[in-house]
Amino acid sequence: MIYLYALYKTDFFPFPQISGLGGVTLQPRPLGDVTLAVGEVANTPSHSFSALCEHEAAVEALAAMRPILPFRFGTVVADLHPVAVAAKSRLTAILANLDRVSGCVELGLSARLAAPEAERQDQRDGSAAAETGRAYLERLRREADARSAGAQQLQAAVAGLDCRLLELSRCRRRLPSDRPDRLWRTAYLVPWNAMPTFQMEVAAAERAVARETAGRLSLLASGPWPPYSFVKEDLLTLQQELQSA
Amino acid sequence: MKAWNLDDKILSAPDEPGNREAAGDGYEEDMPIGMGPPARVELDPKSAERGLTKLVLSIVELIRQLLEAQALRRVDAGQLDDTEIERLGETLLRLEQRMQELKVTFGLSDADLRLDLGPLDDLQDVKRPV
Repeated sequence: MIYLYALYKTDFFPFPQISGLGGVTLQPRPLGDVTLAVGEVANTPSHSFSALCEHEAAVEALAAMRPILPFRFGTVVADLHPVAVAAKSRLTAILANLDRVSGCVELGLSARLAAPEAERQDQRDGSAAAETGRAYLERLRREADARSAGAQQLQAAVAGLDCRLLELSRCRRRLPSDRPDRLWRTAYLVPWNAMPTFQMEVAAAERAVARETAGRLSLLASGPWPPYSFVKEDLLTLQQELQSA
Repeated sequence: MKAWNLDDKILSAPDEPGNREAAGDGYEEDMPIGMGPPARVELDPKSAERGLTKLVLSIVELIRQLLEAQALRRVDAGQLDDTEIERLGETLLRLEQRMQELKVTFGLSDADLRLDLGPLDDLQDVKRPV
């Protein structure tokens, strides 16, 4: 099977020596104006942290050389022909998307609330068996209040930060939170040379947030990442087609 | 060439950069590492059972959390007497404990049971009774 790592504009630069999943060396597969970076795999890789890291390392090595559109982890096809057809039919959008991310990296920013989940975990681990029905409802109320207060504090603390970061960025995308204690997740598409300023802005905001909320709310900035969150929807649809092909 | 390390991806976090403890366990969930596989029911015959279990439990979890939110609204509105509050709370507590057991049994995390409906955003945001 063919594992898809990324897609980039066909050029004359030599393809770098990169190891992907299972230590297999990546290969370029030109499809006219665009080229796929692919690797051979025996099966669809299972979703594990170590496999994600291998995928990520390979995609980042590619992104260090040229603008790319990364495929999500686990994108596998049996045959490249449908990929070539799909890429050709969406070539204009793909090239525009590549121009959009050129020279930029994705930086992530999230805010998380410390107290309620910790309290819930304490309950799960220990005293839950002895908890009364009323006490459980009161705990739910405290958690809901903490989330509400956290959201208000977050709004006050980072109201200006988002605007400042957006000024540094080409664009940004709000991401759905995958946990109740993650109040805010945003991805920014930032030019390489704006990264230090981005980092300083977030560090200053993190200190202010920690001070104003007594450590209940924290910010986490991560990156640089390949521009996963800035691959246009039509290309994501393409990826889904590939996976079901 | 330096090996790829997730800790190198922390640009800014509480206290020392790269301090996993300060950022909290599971902080990699905040990161687009590999951008993970899209959430969907696994149709591979070998893993279809797990995929369906995940889907069913996601819906059950959503309903359970909606029930919790509705219970809090009823308590706040003063619609329940002490006995009813105790009974309702105990029922919800047992449901929560049972849900935890099921998650452990099937090896699922809280994040696995989040329902992301794309353009409709995160359906479970409706559970927040604020």
